[in-house]
Amino acid sequence: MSERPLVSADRASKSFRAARGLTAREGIFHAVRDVSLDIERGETLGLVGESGSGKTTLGRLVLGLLRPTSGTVRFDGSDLAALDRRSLRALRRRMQIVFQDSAGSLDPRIRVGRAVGEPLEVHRLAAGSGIEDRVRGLFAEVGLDAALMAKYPHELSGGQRQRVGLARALALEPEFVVLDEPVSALDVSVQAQVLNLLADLRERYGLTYLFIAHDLAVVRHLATRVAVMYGGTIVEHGMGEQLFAHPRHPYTASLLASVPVPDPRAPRPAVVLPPERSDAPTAGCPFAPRCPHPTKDARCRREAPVLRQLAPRSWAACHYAHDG
Amino acid sequence: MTPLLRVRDLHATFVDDDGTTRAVDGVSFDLAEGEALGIVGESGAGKSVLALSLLRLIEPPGRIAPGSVVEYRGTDLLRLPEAELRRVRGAEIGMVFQDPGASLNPVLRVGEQIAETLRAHRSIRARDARRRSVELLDLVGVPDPERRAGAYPHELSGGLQQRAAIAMALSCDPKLLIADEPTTALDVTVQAQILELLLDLRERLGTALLLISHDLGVVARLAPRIAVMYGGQIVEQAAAADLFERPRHPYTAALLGAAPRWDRTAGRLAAIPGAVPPATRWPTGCRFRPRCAQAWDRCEQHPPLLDAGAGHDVRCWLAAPERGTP
Repeated sequence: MSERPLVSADRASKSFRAARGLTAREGIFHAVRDVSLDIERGETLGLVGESGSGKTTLGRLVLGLLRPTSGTVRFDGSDLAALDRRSLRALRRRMQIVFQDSAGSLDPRIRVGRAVGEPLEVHRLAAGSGIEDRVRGLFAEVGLDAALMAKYPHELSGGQRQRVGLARALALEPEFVVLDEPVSALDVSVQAQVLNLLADLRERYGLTYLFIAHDLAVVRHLATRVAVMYGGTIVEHGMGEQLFAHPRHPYTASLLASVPVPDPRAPRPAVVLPPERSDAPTAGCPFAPRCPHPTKDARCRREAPVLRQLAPRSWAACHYAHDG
Repeated sequence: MTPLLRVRDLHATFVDDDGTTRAVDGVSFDLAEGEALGIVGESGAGKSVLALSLLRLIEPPGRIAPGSVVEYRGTDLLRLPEAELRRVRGAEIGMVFQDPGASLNPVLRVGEQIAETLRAHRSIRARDARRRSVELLDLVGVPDPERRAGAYPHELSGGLQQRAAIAMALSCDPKLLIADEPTTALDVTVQAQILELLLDLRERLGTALLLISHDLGVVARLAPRIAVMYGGQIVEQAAAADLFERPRHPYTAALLGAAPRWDRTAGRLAAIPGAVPPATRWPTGCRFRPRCAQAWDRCEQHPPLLDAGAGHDVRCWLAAPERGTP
C-alpha cells in the first residue's frame, strides 16, 4: 500500500512501576513490549487478548493518552510524543474513544444531550442553537429518539447509553475511533443492535476503528484484520477470515478452541490450557509456560520469537509456526 | 420417582417505592438426580433471583410468595425451619457464584475455610478436615494443593479462586450444585478450564447441576436440557440439541440469531428491537410481544407453558395445537 497508514506504532513499549502487593514484589511491569503495528485508513483492526495482555494500554498509546516508554506512535505521520500541546489537541479531534460502559464516562449530573454537544462547545465548532441542531442530528445518526436528549445517564438503558457514547465520539467528525470493549456490558439482543450500528457508521463516514475486545465472536463479526496479544506482545496478526479459520500461533488456536459455541454437538475443546502462572517468564516466549505446541523446546524458553511473515498478510511470533 | 428438586409456581417479588417487582413470576421445573439443567436468559430475566430463591437466600424487601413450592427430595425447603435449612445449604446443595469472592472469606486461608465448612456439617476431626480440604483442592485441579491450602484468597488468580469455591461447594458431597454464572468473570481460556472441570466432576461424582448463565455457548457445553427465561418466566424448555436446532419460541430463535459466533461469518446480525422491559411493568399478555416479529391478536392474552411434544415446552400461542406448527 503506497498511502501511509493512519496509525503507526514502531517498537512501542510501555512499562509501569508496579506497586508492592500487586505482583507480590516491587518491580517494573511491562504492559506493552516492542509492538509495531500499522492501521490503514478505513480498516477495522480487532485487538484481542485476555486480561493483562496489554490491549487496553496499546489502545491508550495509539491515542496519545499514554506516552510510550520507548518507541514511537504516529498518527497520520506525526509522532504524538513530539507534538506540543496545541498540535496534539488539534490532532485529538480526529481521534476518539468509546468505552465499555459509557456511564463511567458520562457525568451523571449532565443531561445526555448536553454531554453530546460539549465537545462542539469546547472546540468552538458550533454555538447556541447550532449545537442543539447538531446534537439532534447526532442522536438520529445513532438511532436515539431526540426526546432522550433531556434525560440523565441513569435514566437510559445500557444500550442507549452506549449510543450516547458513540454520538459524543462522532460529534467532532473523527477519522479514527478506538472502541474499547464497546459491547461487553450489553446483553446479546442489545449487543447485536450496537454492532450493526457500528458497522453502519463505519460505512457512512469511512471510519477507521481499533476494536479492542476479549470476545472473539464479536471481533470476527466487525473486524477486517485481527491482532492477538499475549503478555504485552502481538503474537499473531492477519486478515480476520484467515486467522479464525487457520490460526498459526498456538495461543490463538487455544484461545479459539476455548470459546464455547452455542451448539450442544460441538466437540469438547481438544486443548485446555493450564492455568496461567503468576511468574511470567523474563526471557524467551511469553507463552512458553502454557504452550501446548508439541515442538516446544529449550529454544522457546531462551529466545523470544519475533513476528515473521508466514503468508501474504499473515504474521506470527512463534519459532514453530508453519509457513504457507 | 421423586425428582431431586421439584419447583412449582415459584414467585419472588420485591416491593419498594417504585412498586412491585415480579422478578420470578411462576417458575416450575423438575431436576432428576444426577441431571444437569441449564437456565439461560438476559439481564432482568430473573434467573439469579431464581437461584437465590431456591435456598431462601433473597433478602428483604424480597419475598417468596405463599403457594410457591421448592421440594428437595420431597421436603419443601420454603417451609423448613431456618436451622434445618442451614443443614441443607452447603451440605446437600452446594452453591457457586459469579464472583468467587462472594463465597470465600478474604481473611481465612483457603484450606481453613473448606475445613470449616466440613466441620459445620460433619462430625470430623480438625486434622482430618484439613487433610480432606487438600484432597478437595486436588480434586478440582488446584496445582500444588498442599501449598495453596495455606494461601489467602487474594493470593490466588481468579481461576484458582473459582476452583477453591467449587471445592468448598463440593466439600460435603452435595447431591446438587447450583452454579450462577460461574465463569462470567473469567478470561476465556480460564473459563474453558472451569467448564471442563464441571463436566469432569459431574462424570465422576454424579452431582446434579443447575447452571445459570447468560451465555448460550456455556449452557450448550454443560447442560443436556435447557430452560430459557424471559420476563421472570420460563418461556421454553427442551433437550439442548432440540432447543438449538428447532427453537419454538420467537425469543429463543431471536436470541440465537442475535449472537455472533467466532466459528462462522454472518452478515448483519438479527438484532431484537427494544430492550427487556423492567420487572415492575411487564407488558400485558405475552411479555415478549412488544419485541416479537410474529406477535398477533392472541398474544394480548398471556400464554401458558404449552406442551409441544417430546419434552419440549413453549410459552407461545404459535405452539398451540389449533394453530399448528409455525
